[in-house]
Amino acid sequence: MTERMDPATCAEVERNGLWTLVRLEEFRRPTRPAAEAVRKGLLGLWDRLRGSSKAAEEAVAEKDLCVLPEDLLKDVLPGDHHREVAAELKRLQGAVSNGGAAAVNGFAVLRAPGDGIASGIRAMAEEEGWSVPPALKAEEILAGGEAFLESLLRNVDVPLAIPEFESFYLRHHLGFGFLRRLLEILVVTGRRCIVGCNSWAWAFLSRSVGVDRILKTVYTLEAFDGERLQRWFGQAAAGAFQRGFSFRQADSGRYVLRTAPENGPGSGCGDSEQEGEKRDVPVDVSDFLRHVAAYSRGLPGVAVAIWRFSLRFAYEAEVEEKAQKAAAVDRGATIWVKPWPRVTLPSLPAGRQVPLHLILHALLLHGRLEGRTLQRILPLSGTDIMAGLATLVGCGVVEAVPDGSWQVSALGYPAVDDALRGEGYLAGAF
Amino acid sequence: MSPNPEIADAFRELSHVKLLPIILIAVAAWAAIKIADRLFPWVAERLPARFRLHVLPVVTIVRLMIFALAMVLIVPLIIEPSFQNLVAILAAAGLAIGFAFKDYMSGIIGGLLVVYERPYRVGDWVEIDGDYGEVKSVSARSVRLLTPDDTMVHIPHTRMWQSAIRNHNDGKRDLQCTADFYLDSDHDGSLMRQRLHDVALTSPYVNLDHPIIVVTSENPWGTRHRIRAYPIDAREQFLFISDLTARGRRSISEAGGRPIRVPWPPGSENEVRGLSGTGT
Repeated sequence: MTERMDPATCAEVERNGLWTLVRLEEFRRPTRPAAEAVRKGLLGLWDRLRGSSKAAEEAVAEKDLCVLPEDLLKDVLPGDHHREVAAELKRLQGAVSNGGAAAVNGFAVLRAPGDGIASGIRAMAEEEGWSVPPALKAEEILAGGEAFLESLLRNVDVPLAIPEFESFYLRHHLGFGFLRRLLEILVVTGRRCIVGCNSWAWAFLSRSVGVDRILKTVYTLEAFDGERLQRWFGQAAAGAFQRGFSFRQADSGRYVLRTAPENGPGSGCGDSEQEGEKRDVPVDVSDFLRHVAAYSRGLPGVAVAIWRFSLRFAYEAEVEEKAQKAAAVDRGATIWVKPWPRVTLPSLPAGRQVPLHLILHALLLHGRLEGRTLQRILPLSGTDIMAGLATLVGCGVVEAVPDGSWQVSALGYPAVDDALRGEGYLAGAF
Repeated sequence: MSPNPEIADAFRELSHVKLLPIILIAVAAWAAIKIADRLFPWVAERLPARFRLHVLPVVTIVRLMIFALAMVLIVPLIIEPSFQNLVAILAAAGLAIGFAFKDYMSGIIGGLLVVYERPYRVGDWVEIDGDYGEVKSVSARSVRLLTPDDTMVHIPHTRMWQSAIRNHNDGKRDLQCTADFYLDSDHDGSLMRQRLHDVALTSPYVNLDHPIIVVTSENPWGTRHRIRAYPIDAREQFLFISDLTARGRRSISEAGGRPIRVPWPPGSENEVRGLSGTGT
């Protein structure tokens, strides 16, 4: 099937740029192609009934293609985009008005793993001279953080930017007092603010302290569908394209990514069609990135993690003959992309795993947590928590953060989201 | 007493009865029922928890269908399948069974009604005559409850005629749990209620789709605070109650509350029931 970007979508992306913030209710998760939905549904059911992981299959699949070297990955993967997000935030903060009586004079932006919104909020605050309060330690939150709250009452004319709102509470019976006082101060003083909060914490705080009734205006990044990913990854890989690399699917040899419009022909964004017509060659871009967009729920941080995971390097003999033939026209080396059905992403152990689910839910509700804090907020023993974390790290769904805490990995986020929703836990917006 | 000739005629001659197919059908039916008993709970455990209580009750219906099918296949092999013969056999059997197996038949009829009326289903948490537990299976004659102390209780369906059946979740995952705290009245009631509300709110087992309510009542001996909340999964009710109790006591202590440490007045309206603390 030949995939071309819808001209209307292309035009919109061209006009608005990639980093568009939309109202939460306008967020539309990319849809999964019907055939893929059926395939994934049946495979998922089969895996559940078998109760086995895909580790063995993964080991076999990994043999044939090697991961890309780090220096090449740097050329290929998107870099930091906090400037673009900051620009979008600046545009919005001028446009958003007060949420009304008993509401905070500002708005919230919901975050997802690896989306760079927290960095964008910091960058915007730095450019605009806004105050960014430091994150509190668990002990300070439990003690009520009075000194911190008093400091907020000074300089109320300076707007406030809170990039990680979820770090201002703990799911502990003493862990809400500080947040309640903070919201009260923001309402009473009318201080302008921008709040970044991960979507899971937002869902929980909306139910528990009614934060959505106090911070009424909520935005999030517009979902990255296949076309947006094509454009974003294409722009990012401009350096690689210039060095003569091509991105092709390892089984069929079809293009997965082509150059961005400003960097050359065949982007898959309108002009590729013209280019194809000029050369009388059909533009054939695989629907790999549509699958990535759907699986990642349109979250750019998750999509880029999957993209990174899928890129492979191989000697010609290790790639299927059909793909080799297609790649013969490439002017340089080829970066192979695993066919979507063979991309085996992290998954949780099959069956009901209550301790693992409790740990994962706590990590998502708080963004990241230290092992000691997990012990304080979960009714599990230290041994259970450490064993659970070890299992989850082994599955690839949890990773250690350099500051010594733990978080759900962007690559494992869809699997964790599916598992927790399936078990009935309160889940985030995406 | 000589046998009724009509009934005797209804049966095939022994030499014409094909014993092997009858045995094969009976064995196949027994095996199919055993497979269904294991297969559906096995599948239910592997599916997302929200589907569990939709899958488990299917076992009872499948068992009944297998039993009915086996009967339909076996009966014509034993009797001549005419209307008169069936009437004669059923009348005689009904009379004999009515006297000899009255209670047993009552149980089986109760079992059929259980499938239709559904006072309990596999996966439900029920209380029948003081026995509380999860329904593990519903057979033709009885229901099996697994109690919290890991004891399997077989209760004949005949109890359904005389006893109240308290179904705590009625086919849903939702099951209300309570945790009681008995305090000396010398404390700030509002503060304590807020604290206990936060205790429930911060339990990782709590289902936030349902409201959390703290009920407070004043008594001559002190104040009772009761948390009413729902766990995410009914199977976690005891972990949930334990978590609420342990953290609730700690929170009360930190807020300056003092638990009452005197024996209950006998016959008090607030006397703790045997099931206090489980789903209510």
